[in-house]
This record gives sequence, C-alpha cells and structure tokens, in this order.
Amino acid sequence: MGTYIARRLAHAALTLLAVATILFVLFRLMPGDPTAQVISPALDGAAQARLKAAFGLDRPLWQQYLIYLANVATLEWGQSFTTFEPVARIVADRMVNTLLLMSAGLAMAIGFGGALGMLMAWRRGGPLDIGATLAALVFQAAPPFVTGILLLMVLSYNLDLLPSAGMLTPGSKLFGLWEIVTSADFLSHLVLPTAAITVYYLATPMLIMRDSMLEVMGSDYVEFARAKGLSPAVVMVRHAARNALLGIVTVASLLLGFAIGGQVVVETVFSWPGMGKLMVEAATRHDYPVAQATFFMLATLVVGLNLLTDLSYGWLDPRIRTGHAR
Amino acid sequence: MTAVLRFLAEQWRIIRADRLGMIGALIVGFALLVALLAPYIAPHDPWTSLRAADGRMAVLRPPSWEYLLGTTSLARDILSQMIWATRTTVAIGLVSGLISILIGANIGLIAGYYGGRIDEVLMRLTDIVYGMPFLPFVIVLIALFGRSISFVVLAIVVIVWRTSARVIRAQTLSLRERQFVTAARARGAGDLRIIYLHIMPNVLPLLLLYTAFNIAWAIITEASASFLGFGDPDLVTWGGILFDLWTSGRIRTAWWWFAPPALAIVVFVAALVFISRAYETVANPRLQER
Amino acid sequence: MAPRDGAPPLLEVRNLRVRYRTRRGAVHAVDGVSFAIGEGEVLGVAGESGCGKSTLVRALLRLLPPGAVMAADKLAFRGRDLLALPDRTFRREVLWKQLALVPQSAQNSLNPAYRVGDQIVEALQAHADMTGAQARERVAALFDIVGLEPGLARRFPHEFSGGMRQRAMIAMALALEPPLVIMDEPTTGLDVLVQERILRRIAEIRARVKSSILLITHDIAVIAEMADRIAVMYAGRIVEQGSTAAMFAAPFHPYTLGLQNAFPSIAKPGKELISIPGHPPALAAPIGGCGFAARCPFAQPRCGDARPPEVAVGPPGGPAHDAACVRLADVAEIRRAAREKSTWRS
Repeated sequence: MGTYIARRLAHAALTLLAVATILFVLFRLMPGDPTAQVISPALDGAAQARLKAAFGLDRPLWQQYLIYLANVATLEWGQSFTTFEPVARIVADRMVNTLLLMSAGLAMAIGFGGALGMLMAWRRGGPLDIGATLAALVFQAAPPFVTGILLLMVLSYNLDLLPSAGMLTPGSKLFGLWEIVTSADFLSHLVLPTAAITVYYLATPMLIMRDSMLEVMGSDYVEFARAKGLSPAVVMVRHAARNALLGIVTVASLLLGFAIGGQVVVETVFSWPGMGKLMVEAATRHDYPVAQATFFMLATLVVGLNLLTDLSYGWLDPRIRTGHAR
Repeated sequence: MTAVLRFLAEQWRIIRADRLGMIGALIVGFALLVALLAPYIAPHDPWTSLRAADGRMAVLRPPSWEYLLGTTSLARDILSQMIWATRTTVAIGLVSGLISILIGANIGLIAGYYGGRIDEVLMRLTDIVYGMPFLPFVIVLIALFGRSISFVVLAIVVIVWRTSARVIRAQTLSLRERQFVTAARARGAGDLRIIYLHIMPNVLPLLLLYTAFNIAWAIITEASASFLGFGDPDLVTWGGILFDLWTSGRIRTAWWWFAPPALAIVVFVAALVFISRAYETVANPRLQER
Repeated sequence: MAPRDGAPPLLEVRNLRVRYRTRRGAVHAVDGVSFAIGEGEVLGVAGESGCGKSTLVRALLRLLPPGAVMAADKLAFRGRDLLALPDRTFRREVLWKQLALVPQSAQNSLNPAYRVGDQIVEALQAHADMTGAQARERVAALFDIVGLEPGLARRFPHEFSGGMRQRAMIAMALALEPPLVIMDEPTTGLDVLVQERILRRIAEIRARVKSSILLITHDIAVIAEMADRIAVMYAGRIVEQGSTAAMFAAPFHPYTLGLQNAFPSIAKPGKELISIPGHPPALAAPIGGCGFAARCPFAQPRCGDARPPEVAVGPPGGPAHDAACVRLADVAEIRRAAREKSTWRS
C-alpha cells in the first residue's frame, strides 16, 4: 500500500506541475504585453517597475519560469487588479465555500446515485429501474445552469420557499465556519445549489452502480452468499454493493472532470461566493492574477479529488491494499 | 461510394434496432434540417429589434401569432434567434466533436497498439489533460485570447478527446493480441495497415459511441461558456440566448425566453445520449442481456 | 445404506422438475428426477456437463434464477416437507444448518473484498448464536480439520492458492456440522495432485464428521472413489442408479457404459478411452422418449415412443438398482458391444 500511495502522490504532483507549466505558456502566448498577467496596467510606471522586478519579469524566460513555479508552490499569486488585495487571501475564503457546496453535492449524488443504482439492479426491469434510467438520461442532458434556473424559477421566485442567491442572508452576523455551516440560514441557502448539482451528477454514479451491480450479482461469490443462507438485504449490501462500489470509484475521476464545470456554472447561477464564481468574474474583468490562481486551485481540486479516489480504490480493493496488484 | 452507403445502412440498422436510439436520430435529423435551412425559415433577422404595428418596440412580448416564441428585452424575435442558434450550436458541436474523436481515436489506437514507451507517454499526457478542469480551461483560454468561435472550439477539442483516447486504448490493447491481428502481421502487413484496416473496424462502434458523447459534451460546454458570457458575441447560440436572458434580469418573468433554448439543449443532448446508448449495446454485447 | 430400509431417508426427492423460461421457449433442465440419500451416505450424481446436475443443485438450495420454475411431488428432509417452507424459514433453518454447499467454482466463490476467516464467521453468525470470539475460535478449529494453518483465516482470498481456497470452502461447509453437504464438482479445475489431496482430505473428514454428501461430478473416477451409491443423469433425468459396486460391476444403461468407457479406470490402468460421440441435447422441448436415444448406438425406433420407466434391475433382496432403458433384456449383448470402440463411432 505504501508504494501505491507514493506512486499516486508522484503522479498527482507531476500533473500539477504540467498544469502550472501550461498556464505559464498560455499566459506568455497571450496577445499583448506578457507582464500584464501579474501587473495591473492601472498602476503608475514606478510601481509597475517595482512589481516587475519582484516577479522577476525582467529576467530571461527560463528564470521567469522557475520563479513562476516557486510562486505557484508558495501560493504567491500577486495582488488582484480590481481590489488590490493579495490573491492568496481572496482565494482561501472562496476555496472553503466551494468545498462546502461541492462536497454536499457530490456526497448527495454518489450517496443517492449509488443507492438508487443498487436498488435498480436488484429489481432489474422493474418500474424503478426503467423510470430512473430514463430520468437519468434526461437529467444527464440538462446542463446544471438549466436545472439551476428552473429550480430558481419554481422554488424561489414563484413559491418563495428558498433563498435564490448567496450563501447567507446579507447582513448576517454569523461568525466562524462551524457556526455558519450549522445555521439554518446557511443550510437554506445550500439547498437549491446542492439540488442543481446533485441532479446533474446523479446519473453517472447511478448508471455505473447499476451496471457494476448487475455484473457483480452474476458472480459466483454473490450466489454463494445466498447459498450461505444470508438475508437478501445482507447479500445485496455487504456482498454485491460492496464490490460494485469499485465500479463507481473507477469512473469517479471522469465524473470529477465535469464536476468542476458544473460547480462554476452553479456558483454563478446561485451567486455562491466560491472559486467558480470568482474565476468567472476575474476572467470577465481580465483580472489575470485572480483568474490564474483560481484556475490553478480548481485544477488542484480536481487532481486532489482524483488522488482521493485512487486511494479509496486501494482501500476498497484488498488486492491493491496488500500489494498484489500491478 | 457503395462502401460508404453500406456503412451508412449499417449505422441506420443499429440505431433503428433501439427505440430510444430511433427517437434520438429523428431529433438530431430535425435539428440538422433546421440548421441547414436557417436562412430560409427564420421569419426575422435574429439581431433586429422589431417594431410592432403601432410603431412601438416589440419588447418582451409573450408568444403570440405574430411572434411565435415571443421577443426579448431588445425586441428580437426568439423563434428566429432559436433557428439561427440551432445552426451555430449544432455546427460547433459537430466540428469539435469530430475533431476531438479524431484526436482521441488516434491517440488511443497508437498507444494501445504500440504499447511500451509510446503508450506510457501518451497515457501520461492523457492524465495531465484529466487534471485540467474542463470548463475553467475554456474560460481562461477565451479570457486570454478573446471571445471568438475558433477559441471556443479549440478549447473544447483540446480537452474533450481524453475520455475517448482512454477507452479506445483499452479496447485496442485487447484487440492487439487477437488472432486476426497476429495473422495480418504474419502476412507482412505494416503497422499502419494493421491499425487502420484491422483494428479500427473493430473499435468502430465504440468510436461512434464516443463521437456522440463528444458532441454532447461539446454542446454542453459551449452552452455553459456562452451562458457565462464567454461565447462569440457575433454569433447567436442556445447558451448565448440564455446569457442575454440572465444579464437582462428578466429571468423572473420571461419564461418564454428561457424555455426554448433550455429545452433545445436538453432535448438535443438527450438525443445524442439516446443514440450513443444504441451503440453501447453493439460496442458492449454483454449489455444486450440487461 | 439403501433408501429401502425402514427409517425415513435424510433427503427424499420425488419427481423433481425445473423449467427455465427463455426467449427461445422453455428449457426442461431437470425433468422428473427421483432419488433419496440416507444418513451418512455419499450419493454421487454423474453425467456430462449440460445434463442438469447444476440445476438440480440450485433447485435443492432454492438458488434458481428468476424465470425458473420448480415443482416436485415430494421434497422432504428428515421427513420435513421442504416444499411447504416459506423462503425465509428455508433460508434461516435449512440452508447451511442442514444443507451446506461446496460450490462448483470454489475459486470465485469467496468474496474478494473480505478476509477468508471473516466470510466463515459470517456464515456461523448468520445461523448460530455465537460471539465473534467463539466464531473465530470455531474457524481456527475448522481450518485445522481441513489442514489449513489457522493464521490463514486473516488472509484475503487472492492470497490463497486454488487448493487452499477449496479447503476453505470445505471448512465453511462443515462450519455448522450440517447433516448434508452438497459438493458440486469439488475437484474440477484443480491440478491432479491437489485433486488427490483434496479427495483424501474429504475421506478423512468423512471419518470424523458424519455428514451425508451429495457429490456432483462429471468425473467417474472421483465418484468411484468416494460414493456409496451412484445416480447417472442424462438430459435432465436419472437414467440409472444403484450401489457403486453394482454400477461398476454390472451397469445396465448404455449411457452408463459410455461414461465408464470415457474415463480412466483404476482397476484397468492401460484401458483405451472411448468417448461418446455428440453432445447432450439442448432440452428446449420435453423429450418424448428416451433422452439418450439420439446418441445411443443401441437405439431402436421404439426408444422414441415413450419415456422408459425406471425398472428395478438388481438381484432380488439385494441393494436397489434401477435403470431406465427399453432394451434391458438385451443387456448382455449391449455390454459386450459397448467395449468395442467401433460401436461408439457416430
């Protein structure tokens, strides 16, 4: 297991290095003055020169690259063009908000999707199986901003059941992460964006779980578990679903690649103060330091979550845990 | 020519065998027809602000006999916008979907066939692309290089090939060891000949399945980017119509402005998913019994 | 210990039928099978694959897939009517406690996600009131019986060799000392040496544990070594059954003769092997006459007329021996011809 973890970690680090390099290259290819990526054109000449030296932009390209990598590694992104705050500080808060919404959505999607897929396979061809398959195909086709707007129109604008925007009611006096996430205000703001994300992600884990359940249910060890006289629920959950979970984990990386996109859109629709919304705003205003930082942090999120799925795969499959697999 | 016809007939047979696939094919066919005929069937220019008979601007009119799908806050005819948007959105989807499958299939075939160092390098490359958040990459690229259709397509193509490459590589790996490949090699067939004449026909259902998927992903991504304001401002797309609605602030009332583009995206992407499922049963015979 | 003795047999099956519904119509996989197993007895069921042996096992354990229909005139375990038992009661009171299985594919029947010992503990705790510690202790004792190091209970299935997995499955089957163990092809897929060791181990266990065994195999040699009585199955029916000694000394059914030709004999090592040409039928439609007629070198037109009844062929007063063939009267001639290779050419 040790070498497995080490190898996964090395892969993740390599991928991030590649992402940082691609960012560096892209920003050099950008039309216009390359220094414009970190130094606001709004500053006066002396201030620009000072920053240029601080970021090493007066040095040769390869040195710039190394300085850039060092800055990325230490989360030194300069300051925002629009608010002149240090980018790292802006991003840190937003990252927490994004993680809150994303983990709620993914947990719901995988939890519900997995459970539904399990039941669909168990009663294959039944009304749940057919209905949920069709619904999943349609929901999969609905981009999250469409479902998001639809939810807003019905539940917020028309029925006025839930708040339509933000993470807390403006003027909220709540303080500290724990106080915020346990407040009714936060939770009521969380419902709609989470629902939009869940609906969008649900289909993949559900259909995958259904398929791998069907495969596992035909296996000898599930039939044998029935022969042991275990109850159907125990056979379904402990023997079939436990192994079918591996199927979900295998496609989780695919899901995550798209999850970030959904996240960006949903944050924008529901004005959720997260990284995605920040990134869209920064990109729209050509606030390049913030855009770069948010992009890299979102990439880190993807790579980190992929790493997590790899590790949970290792944990779920004893063949990897005990070091017997390739 | 006959080979092409036979190929098309075969595809038709596969799709027709699956009821949902058939529905999907009809929807896609209808969209293609609208896209081709757009200049002839659109009742108005999609960019012109229309005046009603009384000389006032026809702003935010709900659907009526005059404006079948209503008008926008800038008094533009939504039906005409939808017809032109179908043309651009479908074109973007097809172009990016086809280019990306071309890249993905070749990378998958080459990595799977040659294996070893080549496979290692190509798959590491694929891993790196998997580390790129898709939509954020599109947004950054457009923010840097400008809101033009070519960068939208480029950004989509650069990312979306990754899944098809992985899947086709896996399939190629197993085909490589099969008898017809070793036999072809024994007859002295070259690598390229084996890859494209012997292996590729066998991954074809998978390839078509992922072509449909890639088009679907391209359309969802284009719509998302346009909705966020990163579309080409000179073109009207389904996502762009929704962006106009969102920024107009009329989202609470103008349901007729929301419904057509939203439905178009969902129905068209669902149609592609239906078609891909028809191929899934061919690509993966195990599924046929399910 | 033949079923004709006074006491009720351990398991009595009369006219068991199993029908699968498929897209191409019904398949009569088991078509009226009757047999009985006495206490402590080993009954071997022989036949090629596709003769309905596995379906028979599934039917007895109620593991038939959806779409399969089972019926029988009688299915009794120590006089208790199994047909009347609801699924839940059957699962809780009969499965594993009374009736355990060593499955055909022992290699894949252990769940790869759990430790081998834990899977046996699971079976124990599902049916017996045991603490975790007691159950683990029992597992260690069972491992000792089947000749596995008790420490191996903490290993995962993929860390076991084929032979070790087979032993673990036998240990699991013996966990609750059930009166009847069904062993479905217990040696198939193992190499000859391991097969030999497993068989010896089963024989040793038989001396210690008094379970009856229903031994399902296509391997006549295994049956000859282990079974007290043999039932030969073909096309979903039992075509001949009797004591092992009688079945080998004086078989009556042409299919039994053919099977014996096809396997190496311990008594006659250098014997030439002759296989039966053709394959068992697909059983799509119920067969009107004798199921074997299509492949039987001794078939006559009347073989297709009606299903031949099982007739007692053993010496009067001796152990039961039944065969279902219309040409029983010609048995001496058939036995002689069956030894010739030319007889079996298609």
